[in-house]
Amino acid sequence: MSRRSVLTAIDLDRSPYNGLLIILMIAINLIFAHTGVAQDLSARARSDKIMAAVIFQITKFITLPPSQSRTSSSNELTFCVMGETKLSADVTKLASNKEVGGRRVKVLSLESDKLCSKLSNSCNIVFVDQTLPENSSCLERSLKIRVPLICRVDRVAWNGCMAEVFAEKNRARIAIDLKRTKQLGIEVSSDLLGLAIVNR
Amino acid sequence: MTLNNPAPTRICSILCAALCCVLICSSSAIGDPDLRNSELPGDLSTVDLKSLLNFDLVVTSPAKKEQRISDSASAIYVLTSEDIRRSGATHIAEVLRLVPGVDVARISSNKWAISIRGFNQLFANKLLVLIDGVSLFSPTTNGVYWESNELDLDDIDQIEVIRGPGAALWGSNAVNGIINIITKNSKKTLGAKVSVGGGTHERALFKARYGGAIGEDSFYRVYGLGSKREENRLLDSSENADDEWESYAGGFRFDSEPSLSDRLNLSFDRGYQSDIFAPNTPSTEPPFIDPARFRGDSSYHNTRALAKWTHNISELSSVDTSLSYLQKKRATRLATFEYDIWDFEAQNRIQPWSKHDIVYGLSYRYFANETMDSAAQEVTPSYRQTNLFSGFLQDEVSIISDELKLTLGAKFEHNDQTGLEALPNGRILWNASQNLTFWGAISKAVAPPAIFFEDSRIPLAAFPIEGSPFPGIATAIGSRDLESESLIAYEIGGRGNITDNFSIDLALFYNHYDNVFSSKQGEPFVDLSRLSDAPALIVPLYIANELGADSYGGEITSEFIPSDNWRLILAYGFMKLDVDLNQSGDISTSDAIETGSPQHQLSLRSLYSLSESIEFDGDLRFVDSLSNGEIPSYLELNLRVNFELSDQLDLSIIGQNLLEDSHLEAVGDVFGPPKTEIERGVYAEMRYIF
Repeated sequence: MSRRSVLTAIDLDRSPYNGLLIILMIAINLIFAHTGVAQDLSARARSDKIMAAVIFQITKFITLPPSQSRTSSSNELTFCVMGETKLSADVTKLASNKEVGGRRVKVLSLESDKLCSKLSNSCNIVFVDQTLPENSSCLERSLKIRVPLICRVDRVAWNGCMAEVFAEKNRARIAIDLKRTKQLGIEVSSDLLGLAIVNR
Repeated sequence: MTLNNPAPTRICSILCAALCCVLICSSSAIGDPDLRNSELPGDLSTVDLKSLLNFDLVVTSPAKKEQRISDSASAIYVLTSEDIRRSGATHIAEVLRLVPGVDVARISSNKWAISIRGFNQLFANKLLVLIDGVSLFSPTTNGVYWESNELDLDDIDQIEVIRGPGAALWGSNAVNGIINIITKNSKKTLGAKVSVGGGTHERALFKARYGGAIGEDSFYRVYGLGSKREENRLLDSSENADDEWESYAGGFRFDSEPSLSDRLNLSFDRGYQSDIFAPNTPSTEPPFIDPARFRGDSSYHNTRALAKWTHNISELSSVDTSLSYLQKKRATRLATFEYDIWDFEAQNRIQPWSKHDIVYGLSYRYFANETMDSAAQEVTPSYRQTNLFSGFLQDEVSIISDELKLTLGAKFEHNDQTGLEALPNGRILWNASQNLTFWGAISKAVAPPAIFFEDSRIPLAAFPIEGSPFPGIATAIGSRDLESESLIAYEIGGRGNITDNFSIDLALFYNHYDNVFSSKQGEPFVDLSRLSDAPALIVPLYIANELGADSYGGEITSEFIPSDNWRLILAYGFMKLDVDLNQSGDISTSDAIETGSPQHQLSLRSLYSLSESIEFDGDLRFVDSLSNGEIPSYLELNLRVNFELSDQLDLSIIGQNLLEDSHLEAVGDVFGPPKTEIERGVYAEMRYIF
């Protein structure tokens, strides 16, 4: 028997039987795609809006330590937003000029690494979108300077974020890392802890 | 292996049946319209948090079966990308040393024996290893060619390691453990990265990667890497072991979300390795061993491709379909063979009732192997193909809300070698409190015979026979009558967060094995020896299933975080294995199994950030002696210091095996490399991201 690769033998050009394997897989997914409820971009926008609101609301349930005074004005809470995603834009839009604990929220968008240098002296709270490219140094920097992070994640990871927001069973969920909040000197209200998954 | 081969038509038949089943069943699980929400209020910033958390995000959502570790009724450990980055390892096999309970023994520079809960050897047949769901397990030899799986470790999202059986979901060979390597979605690897390094053992390392976006919902990355690793030295000798090797790999990954309900993943990886292979082959002439006869350059080509499509039908149901291809070509002067594996899987998850979370699926595997004979071994037939059909069903029942969950499931497989295999398991999970979880499990798993166990005839040793004109040659002879090795495993465990900065995880197990592969001596006969083309007295050692075994032990892992910049992980594992000879007189095999894995393993890992820009990490490990003391116990230390020179540039200096000049960790199997001591090494690596 000649020494031939199975790949050659199952080459789509040579064997219509095996081509069916690929075609079937594609076809079945197309069928599924159309039997499900139709999706459109407005549905994605809805998800981002809910997530953005949850992220903003978390700030109402936490008390920053007195020493955490990076902003120039004590009447101002600087909420830094990393990344250039739709969710980041929604967070920016929703939180700007709102009030939290009597402090006006100022949103600072960190869309590039150059602006990231403002982290250490400008941000009271930082939001990190999961789609932030790995090569941005902002995320690593914010972990090191011990600024409170609220992260949008695919799943709970306990990777340094004070709070993680994620989707589970079609609902927004919150996870609070109490170890991290204690390290940062942040107080978390019992109301928020009652709604969240808590890592003690 | 052509168009008149019945396999393709079988493929189509089984796929049609499988997909129709999945389609029909899943269509009943389309989401309840009542679960959908009305329009959102105009200003969500004024809506209370509790209400926000009750809104449907979208009508369909990812319902992939993912669990938190605390919800898993098994001994599971997860290495994160941060753990991997700070390991200082350059090869996936070395990373696994960080996982408690995993026995990693380096045989030579490019050969590893890796197993869990015993039975460790070059080809460990009771450990299933996957990359993104693609099995790396070789049915030809029943093991994993670790050297042929070169990855950029920065591209790994996490490694999930399950100690204990998982055959009810994963199928054959998930007997004592599963290692599931998950690479990063390409949207997490945007931009460019270049790494270069080198040192005493890791002579030269190079990695380059570029990731980009195509529109808003599609991402890709391409990568290439190469390495040259230096040789070690032979045991108790100043001679080099000739185990230096070179490795190159490249590939791409593409991820897309064409709609809210669909995710597509395509990936392709191609690798090439080369080394000098000098097997200890027997000879009919004194001194009856001839490592030089088949010594020569060897090359290994490997290809891996995956297409995966996930479709979310509703918030309660999703379908995963995947098609993967794996090809290995291994060419040495001892033997040359290649194999190809096609895997198709369709899986559906539904929650038809409030307390039930059901996952079921169907799969098909086509495997073909072709072996070129050599003077040392004979494989008949040289070409062979097999089919594997399987289906599984698992139901997780919430008996008391989230406090008490019972999981029952089974996988049924039909393979051409041993026929139908039923692989059931039952697991129970009790969340005693928010910080304390207990679990227990009873499972069955099997390991089918390797193709070589069935079809090969391999001379193992040659010796003179007094009074005989012919030399004797002990020869392993395969059999088509073999059954699968089987395991019944009993496990209990618990995990908890004792304080805010101290957690502990404990697992205990008792395993009972039947039909363990052994050899059975038959009546000697005179035949023409392939070693010398002259008559010889063949002493046949027929491969059989005549051993039983019992093992028990446990693993305990604790994590302590003294401060926010310091993390300590202490792990200890104990395992005792007793082999029952049954009717077999195969003492040598039973002894090799019993003493082939360490009884005690202890490790301590420290991750310490000296400042914002300096990391200082280390891991200390103790491994008990093996093979009745033939391999002494050893204590070794790896250290890593990382300097972040700028936001884009960092430098790591890594010391490997620092406590001794060299040490022995394992020996190869028959025809394996000679006893090789693993040497101390130091290397530096610089990474630039832009």
